[in-house]
Amino acid sequence: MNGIHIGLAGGTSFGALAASAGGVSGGMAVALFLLAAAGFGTKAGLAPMHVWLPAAHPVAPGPVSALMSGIVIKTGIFGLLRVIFWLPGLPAWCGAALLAVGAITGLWGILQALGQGNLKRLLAYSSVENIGIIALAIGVAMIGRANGNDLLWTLGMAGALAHVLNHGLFKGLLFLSGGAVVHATGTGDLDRLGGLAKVMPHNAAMFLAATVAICALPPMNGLVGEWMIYQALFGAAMMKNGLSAAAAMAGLAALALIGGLALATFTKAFGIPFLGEKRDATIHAHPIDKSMIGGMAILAVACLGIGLAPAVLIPPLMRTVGSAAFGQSAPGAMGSLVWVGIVGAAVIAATTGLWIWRRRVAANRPPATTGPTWGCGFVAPTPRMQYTGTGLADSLVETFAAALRPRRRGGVPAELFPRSGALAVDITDGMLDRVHAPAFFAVRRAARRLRPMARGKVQVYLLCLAGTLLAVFVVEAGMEWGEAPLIEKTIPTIEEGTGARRPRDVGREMGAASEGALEADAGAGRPRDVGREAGAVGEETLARDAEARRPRDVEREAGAAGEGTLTRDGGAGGSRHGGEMREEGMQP
Amino acid sequence: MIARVLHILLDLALIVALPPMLIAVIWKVKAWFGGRDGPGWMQPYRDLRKLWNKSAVYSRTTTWVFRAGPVVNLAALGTAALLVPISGTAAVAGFPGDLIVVAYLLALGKMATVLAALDTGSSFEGMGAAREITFGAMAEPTLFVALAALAIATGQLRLGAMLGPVLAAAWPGMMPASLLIAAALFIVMLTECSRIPVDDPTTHLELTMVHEVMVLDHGGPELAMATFAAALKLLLLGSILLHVAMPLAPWPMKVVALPLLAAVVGVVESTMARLRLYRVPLLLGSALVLAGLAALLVTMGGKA
Amino acid sequence: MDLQTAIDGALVMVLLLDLGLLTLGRLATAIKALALQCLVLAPLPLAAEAMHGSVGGHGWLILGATIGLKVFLIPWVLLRAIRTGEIHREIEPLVGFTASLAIGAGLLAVAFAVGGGMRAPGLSISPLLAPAGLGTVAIGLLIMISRVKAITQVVGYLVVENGVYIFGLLLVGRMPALVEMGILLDLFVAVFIMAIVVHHIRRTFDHIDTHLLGGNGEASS
Repeated sequence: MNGIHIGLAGGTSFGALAASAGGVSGGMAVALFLLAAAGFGTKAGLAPMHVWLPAAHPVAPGPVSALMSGIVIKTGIFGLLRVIFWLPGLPAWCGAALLAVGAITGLWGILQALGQGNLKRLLAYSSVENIGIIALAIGVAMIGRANGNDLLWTLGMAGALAHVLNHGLFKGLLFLSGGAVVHATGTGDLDRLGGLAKVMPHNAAMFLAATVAICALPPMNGLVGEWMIYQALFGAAMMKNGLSAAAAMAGLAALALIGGLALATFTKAFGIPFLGEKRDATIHAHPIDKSMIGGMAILAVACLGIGLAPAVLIPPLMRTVGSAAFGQSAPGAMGSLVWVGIVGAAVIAATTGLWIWRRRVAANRPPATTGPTWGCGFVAPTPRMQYTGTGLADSLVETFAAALRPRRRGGVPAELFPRSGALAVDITDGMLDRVHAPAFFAVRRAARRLRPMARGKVQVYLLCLAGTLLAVFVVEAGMEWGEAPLIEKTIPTIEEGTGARRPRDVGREMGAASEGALEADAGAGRPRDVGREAGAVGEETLARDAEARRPRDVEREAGAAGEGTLTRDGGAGGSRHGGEMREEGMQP
Repeated sequence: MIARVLHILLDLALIVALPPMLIAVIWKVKAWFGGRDGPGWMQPYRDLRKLWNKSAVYSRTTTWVFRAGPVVNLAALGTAALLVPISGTAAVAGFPGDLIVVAYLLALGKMATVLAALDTGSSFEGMGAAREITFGAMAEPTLFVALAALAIATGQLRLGAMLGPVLAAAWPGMMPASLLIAAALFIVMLTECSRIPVDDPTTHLELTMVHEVMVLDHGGPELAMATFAAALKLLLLGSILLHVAMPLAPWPMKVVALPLLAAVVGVVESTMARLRLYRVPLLLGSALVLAGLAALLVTMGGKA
Repeated sequence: MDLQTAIDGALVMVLLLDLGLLTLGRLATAIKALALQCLVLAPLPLAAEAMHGSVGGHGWLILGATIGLKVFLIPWVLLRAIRTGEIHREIEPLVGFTASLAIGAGLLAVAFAVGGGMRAPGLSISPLLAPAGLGTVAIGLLIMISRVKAITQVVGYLVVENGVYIFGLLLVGRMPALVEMGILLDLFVAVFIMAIVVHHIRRTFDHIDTHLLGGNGEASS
């Protein structure tokens, strides 16, 4: 994609690219956008190209995962945004398409997150979800721009950018706090953890703060970005303009469903490991270091600060968004953002007030007594009777079984005097098997599938009939929509041009960043070396390998680094990866 | 101006005083259907006072999360109540986009309740929590699509303005859509407030409950707060529903209609059985379709 | 409430019944819902004439014939068929109830997108006519495609017919009464024959699943 673009620009600096892109029109602009969306979308983790992300992020130690989810994947969003800013003539359907991809990514990510049994994989999938929300917001903004609607562009784009920032903060906090759990207990398996709030109360508070933020609940910062995105979606729906309104309405329903599912996912992520009783007696959690809490507290305060005073975001956001041709007339709509902060403050005030009142009342009564949890008359409850994470999510998993395809091992004992039984629910991301592989073989299979259609079933014939009818109508409708005028620009001459490709540098910077983080992590000598080696080799690979490879390398790098740090003496995993990469690097 | 102040005062009074009355109405209607006299009209108030004056019993398993649950829940719903128009067409406070905040305040209350339930480590309460988050997640899109339909019809994003005179003016053209929205909101209300056909609040079997089983371990003042908050939620969603269903009625009628709506809930509870759990998604899906159809209709209405 | 609102309300009601039919498993209830749909639709030609001016005598005639045939006679025939066939439930539809509701909602959205732009040649009595007609036809087809029992297929066929009927309202005032009566007669004969066929299938094969008719090739079409 960049080749074409650089060809058009005759140079590789952002400035030259931006200057040339203004003149790109119609079909070329759309092609550039689609290619950029595919490329940068892979980097950011848009479905169905997200499959690398949940495999890569959880294997790194907490602080590295925090950087990767918080910042590294956002470089993909950054690249996508640059291209979109350069191409003002994109038609509305591009925005609608990005919105749809964002909605699917968000739903897919949160559903997978809901089904995960491992805390860090859950968090990684939730990053996919948030990237989906961001893409959805960018899609609305593009719809707004194509329709000449200032307000939508501003709200959508500002919402996307605010969410990029907010997600960096609360997801960083979640990974740090979740990493501390893994560090203290030695496992991230939710169904084995429990009651950690008593062992590490401060860490629990940090995780809870991030949970409230990521579910977009007041008074934290998650609501700020989503509030703007919702407003943009409502605005797009109110335009009553066929495709845009339909896309916005679908986006609205999807975002609301994502919100509900996120609430379910994160009540599981917080409630199962931190609340209740210890589930596995063999796990001995030790309290965590005060200094770790200190680092988290900075992020938590930032989350709360933005939640209570979202207006601080307005000037920088308006500067960025307003730098395009649009966004000059919209600060008024952003004004009511202040109110979101006021509501947050009101909730805190009301909670504090009720809490104090409650304490006053309690002071005048006989002191509270304690006892076991009420077991509805059952006299011998054990901690193993608690709901597990799997159980908590199961009814939703069942409801969305068509998408998740859970595999059940074991089941409920059925005999009269039941012996012990076990049930495990495995959820694996079906995107690879169900989208990627089928796409490759689609043609062959389509040819084979045509045959059995002529088997004499009335319903199948009717389906064909109805399908054709529907298709005709849709084509008809499409022709109606197609009459909307596109912005025409002059087509510049296409020149040949080569040169170093810019995004590689971003990749290199990333490599350096994660290396730095590894050093800061202060592991033993050996793992660090492995990490460095991997980093170095990764860079080499980046320099020689085709561009499409980039995300995979980052994944590997992370894999190498993570395993290197986790398995202290045996750089087994790490060196294996390193070796593999070296081989690849050697190839000319 | 004076009228506005009076409406605000009336709203505040209704927020504090009316919710238990709605519960009393439901109880009465159900008792009448069962051929009984039922508890007195003041019984929910007496219950709340009794609970408030008790001292608490806490499970040894619980932490501060359990104690904070009902407090945060009530605080969130109380804040949301200030943004929802109840007696007049304007709420106590409001701003463009407040409907999003109201929805997420309700979600905050839900999260507080669910976490408090999980904090007890009881399998029953875990079960209730699992159902609450399941149904809550599925009710959310319906609420937003219904609100979007109203936003399209009125061009407003402030609840007070959306449910106010603009809606009344648009009413003749959008009556079918309004009724669809009202029907969708009714299903959302029954779900969110844990009423039949989604949840049976009065059964004697913990296994069949949703909300009541989540507050099983709460006692004394905590239970009082949880109970009041549940009734307050009924008031809030009911108010929105009534503004949509009867925008032309003068405001005193809307206030009077609140207990009548509670009576309708009572009739539903008396005449219907609780749905099997796996039929609930179909019910909520139907509600979403109703809201979506309403959105289509109002979008059409603008063009024609 | 003016006439326009009443017509719009009736059409929305028809769409709701369409979606309701997708979620009903009990055959008798489905047939009654269908009868209700026909009842809601029956007065529409009359309302259309009233909107355009005069109500002629033949309007009342058609109203009477429609109600008599589609609200009473055809449902009666069908209910009799399920009684004698001892078939009461659509137990295993090819597409589940929730899924068919979702598909039906999607079809409605498409119908609105496509039909919203359609303009009637003359005066239209409601902007909803074209989308409602299209949506009803599409959902009728969906019922026929996704259900197994022969009776449900008849129900689907009648829903399709109702959709065509709604479309016909776009041409109100241009279609002679005789043609409409002819269509009604056609319809009745078709349903009557289908009921006989259902009965016949039941007698021959002891069930009325269309699954097992496949081997006979043309027999079911």
